Amino acid sequence: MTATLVKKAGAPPRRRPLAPVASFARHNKTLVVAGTLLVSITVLVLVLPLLLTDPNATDPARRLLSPSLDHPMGTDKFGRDLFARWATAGRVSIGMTLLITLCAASLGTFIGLVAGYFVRVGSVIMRIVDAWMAFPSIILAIVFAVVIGPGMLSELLAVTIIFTPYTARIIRSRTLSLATRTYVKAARVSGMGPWKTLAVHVLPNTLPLAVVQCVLLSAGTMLIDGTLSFLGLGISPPTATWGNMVADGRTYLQEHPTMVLFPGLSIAVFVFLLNLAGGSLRAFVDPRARLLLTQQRRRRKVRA
Amino acid sequence: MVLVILRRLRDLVLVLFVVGTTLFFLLRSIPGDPAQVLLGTKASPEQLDRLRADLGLTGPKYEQYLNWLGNVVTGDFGTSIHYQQPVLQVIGDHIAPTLTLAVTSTAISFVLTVLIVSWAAVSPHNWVARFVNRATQFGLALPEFWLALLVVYVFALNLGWFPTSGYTPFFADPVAAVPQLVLPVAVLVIGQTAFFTITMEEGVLGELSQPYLRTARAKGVTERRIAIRHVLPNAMLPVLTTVGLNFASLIGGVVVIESIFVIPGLGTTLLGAVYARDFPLIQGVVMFIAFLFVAVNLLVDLTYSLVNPKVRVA
Amino acid sequence: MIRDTPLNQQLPSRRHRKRQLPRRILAATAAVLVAAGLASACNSQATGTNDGADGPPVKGGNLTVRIAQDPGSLDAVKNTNAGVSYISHEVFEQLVTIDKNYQPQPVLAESYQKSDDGLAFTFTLRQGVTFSDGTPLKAADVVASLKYWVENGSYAGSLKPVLKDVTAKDDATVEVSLKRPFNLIALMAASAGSEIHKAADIAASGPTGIPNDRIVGTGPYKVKSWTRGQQIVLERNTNYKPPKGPSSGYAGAKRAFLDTITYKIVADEDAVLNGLKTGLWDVAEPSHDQYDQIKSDAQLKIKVEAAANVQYVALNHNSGSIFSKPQARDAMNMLIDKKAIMAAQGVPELTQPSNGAFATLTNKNLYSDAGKAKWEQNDPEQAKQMFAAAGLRPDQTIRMITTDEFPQFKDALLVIQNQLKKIGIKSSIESYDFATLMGRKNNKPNSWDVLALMDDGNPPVPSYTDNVNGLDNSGYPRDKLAPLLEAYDRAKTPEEAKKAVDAIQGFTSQNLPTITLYMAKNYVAHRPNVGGYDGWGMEFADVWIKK
Repeated sequence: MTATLVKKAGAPPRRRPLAPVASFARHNKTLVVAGTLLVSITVLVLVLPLLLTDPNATDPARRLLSPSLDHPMGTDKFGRDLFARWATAGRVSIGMTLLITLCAASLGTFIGLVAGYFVRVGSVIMRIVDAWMAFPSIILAIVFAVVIGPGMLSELLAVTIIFTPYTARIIRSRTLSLATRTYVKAARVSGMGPWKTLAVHVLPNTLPLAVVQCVLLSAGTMLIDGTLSFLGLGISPPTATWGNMVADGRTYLQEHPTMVLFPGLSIAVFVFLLNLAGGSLRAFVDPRARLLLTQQRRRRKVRA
Repeated sequence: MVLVILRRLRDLVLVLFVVGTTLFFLLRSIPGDPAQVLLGTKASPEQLDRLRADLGLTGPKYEQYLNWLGNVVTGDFGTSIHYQQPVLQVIGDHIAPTLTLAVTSTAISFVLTVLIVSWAAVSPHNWVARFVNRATQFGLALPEFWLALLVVYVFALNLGWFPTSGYTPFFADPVAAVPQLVLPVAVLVIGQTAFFTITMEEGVLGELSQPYLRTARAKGVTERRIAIRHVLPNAMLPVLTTVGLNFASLIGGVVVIESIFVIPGLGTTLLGAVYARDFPLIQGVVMFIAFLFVAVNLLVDLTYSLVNPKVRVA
Repeated sequence: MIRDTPLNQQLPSRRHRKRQLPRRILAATAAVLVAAGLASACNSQATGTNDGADGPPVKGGNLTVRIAQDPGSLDAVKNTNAGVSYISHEVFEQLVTIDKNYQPQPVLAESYQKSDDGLAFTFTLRQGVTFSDGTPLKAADVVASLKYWVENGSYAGSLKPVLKDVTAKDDATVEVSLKRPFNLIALMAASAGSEIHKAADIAASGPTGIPNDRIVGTGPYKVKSWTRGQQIVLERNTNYKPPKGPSSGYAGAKRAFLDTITYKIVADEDAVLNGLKTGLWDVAEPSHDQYDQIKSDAQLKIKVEAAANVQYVALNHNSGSIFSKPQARDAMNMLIDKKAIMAAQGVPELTQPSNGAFATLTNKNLYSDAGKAKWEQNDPEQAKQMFAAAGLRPDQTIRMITTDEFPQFKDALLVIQNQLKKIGIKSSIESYDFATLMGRKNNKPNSWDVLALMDDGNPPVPSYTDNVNGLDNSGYPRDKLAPLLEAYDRAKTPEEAKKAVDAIQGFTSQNLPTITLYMAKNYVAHRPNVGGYDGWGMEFADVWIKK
């Protein structure tokens, strides 16, 4: 999944064919390394559960073991193999992250497009979005967990709602500037309907930004997903997620700190890689960010 | 200027109205009500109905809503069902711990950020400075709940330097309060410093690409002087905005830290209120946080325009 | 994990146990003698032995106790939070309360008398008792308090239709008259709501109870300070006039060794454990998950409480559920492997089989074997056929709901889900916070089939239990049950009462409003500096801090 994202981002519409992607990758080792690692972790958690024992298989005789060759991450209070659980938890956590990100980014893009293009409606929408951002996010999550019951759906709804306004704001400002471009105006003058103009001329030009937004968003999503699972408001046991594995391990913090260490570290590393990748991608899409990056590089080179 | 502030105040009222109204109907549409929580499993339907009537939870929703709205307009946020105290008083009782956490951690993070970024900007040759600058950003990826557990494990359970949890009002007993604050504040500082550093870094790089610097360099001004005189002050501005935005969301967002470290702040109070279905309290706290969010941002914008007259409050 | 445990509120950890009433006058001294004799005969006497093991009692110091949430008020009538009952028992006293063997003992009553027809109870108040603010206790206070309790308390719900009146004969005598016989003393002793407040305070009560600036009782402690959401500090009540007899359970003379008792509000269970280890508090009731860890910690002491909770699944008798059909209920009983669910908890020292009864095995008066044979049935193949015979469609899903306040509910449902899956029946599990669960059960009575919860393992009277009464709005037929309950209320001898309990248990076993799974015990963990503590619940008016 991440691989396709990277690829898409590398192919902004029209102006540049694929060639610059290669050159970009050469110039941007961070992105390549981070992307590769992200893909490897994702593949790992996709493949591993097929090879490992059932993550929900209990074995009372092997309760609370410390990490060993048989159980690289030890076992929990039910004697379940924590490594197998870690792998399936990775599937769930990464999957949820992707799903939520996709929803938040699409909804945010849509709202941003509409708000940026239809100016009058837009100012009203942005007022609402502002109010929306003032709403404490964790409360939303709790309310949803309470209404629907903690689980995938409530988490999806809550986190989507939390992140949508951020994307909407960014896409809107981009749309505002695009709407003044001559080709967009020309399309309108030539009788193209507003929705079609949006779809044909504006949307494709906001896509690269949206994709970058996706990657950066997914980092935030993974953190929130972890927090919600930790609080028992996300996907709940026996389905493992990295967040609820940390919560499960808490009781044994002093005796078996690894139960908390490994799943939490996985979130940290994954989020870190997403941030790195997102940052580099942004430099590719956002002219200002690109300028900054060149500036940074130049400065380093000159001084070093 | 006055007009601008008035317009912003109008927006503030609008935001509060939207948040309050949404919440009012949202809360009343979710299953479970305070009477059931208070009276427990064994209560008879008749008892429940009576308590509901006493609490003003019966009758048409719009009537309840208008009632509530009328009270709010006159500054009466009602009485907390669980605490049996005026909502504003409950908020007042619980805001101190949260503010202590938020203010302390924001202040420390801000100072740290300025130090780290300045160091890196002033001495770009120094690899330690650059490393610290980079490493800080890893803090952005650390889940707070996890970090909190790790510091409890290392510094409280194993080393015993700090208590595992607890809160004492600072002015009541500073000797007891400070050690209790160290770990939760440290966790918050790590995440925030990362956030601020990135913002300020961007500001620094943006300034560095300004044409006037080329002129300055051409005139023979040293890099160090450029950094101190021009780049850093200007780069500080976007950080202010970030600090403002972050501060407000911190108030509602420290609930995880509050719960792990058993700090009786606004976040945990709100969480408890949701479980107890303490409608007046939930509404009061959420609107208070929304108010804070908008107010702090207005304040930041005003400061912004004071620091840099070119920027006008829109 | 940050969830506090509102369910504590619903499922009070108050201990109560019904006991057959002597029909003659019961002098306080005599009662205490009997109780003391009983106590020394069965097991170690609470304060006696501990005095020896923990050295001589020391006066002074502060005990820090962890409670899960701020109780909000100390009105035990309108607030069923567990913390209310813990703290209010130190501040208030009842006419009669339970001793450590769950037997009713007079406290504010010097003595009480039951009329021969069982329709009137006369309480003679102890002389010279004053409230902590110095006002003397009058019969009018008792009348107001009891009326308030019966009128508003969910605990007294079964008493309300039976009660005729509560009157003050004179300043020191109160009479409670009933429409038909009822085990008033057992209910009163077990319910913290029957605590005596000043009449003026009762009159000042609002919708959610008696205001917090009117917490005035006759108990060994009084409220010193209350920091919202943080802590409640009690201090010794110098006006306390103890009843006669040694301290036992909530009854007897409390010696109030401690200068102060500080109740720290700590919702987070793992913070509770860490705080116990590092000495932030002296006493706590940790979770079952933490039992093994605490046991292996040499620093901490464990006392398993005598009280227990019945873990059960309720079956929905409403027409919208498959369990409106008796065959389906029997099939479910046949399918569920109760012992497997109990074993899955992994804490054998804290669990024991329920044998289908609504009271614990040790509760001689209310425990009955009448449902045991049926409870022990377990044959998945037969269950499958029974489900089919009951008309369960192959595509039908059994909808199970519970609350996630306590993990064991969902654990139990997961085992059941697995057992259903093995015989090819689909099922779903949804868990919510407590308020949502109650809302769903009451407002959408046809939207669920199975509900996992727990109930008190030492109910005061059979009608109090979910197993007998079903849950409200669950469509449970009460008309056939009523005569059985009445027979229990009319029972004149322990034998008659026992027979009535057997009949009631037989009836519930036949109808299965709930299937009881197992009994789970609470435990208390404390630091070694706590002296004289016998592990009887969260009662500390007679413990001391070792120097």
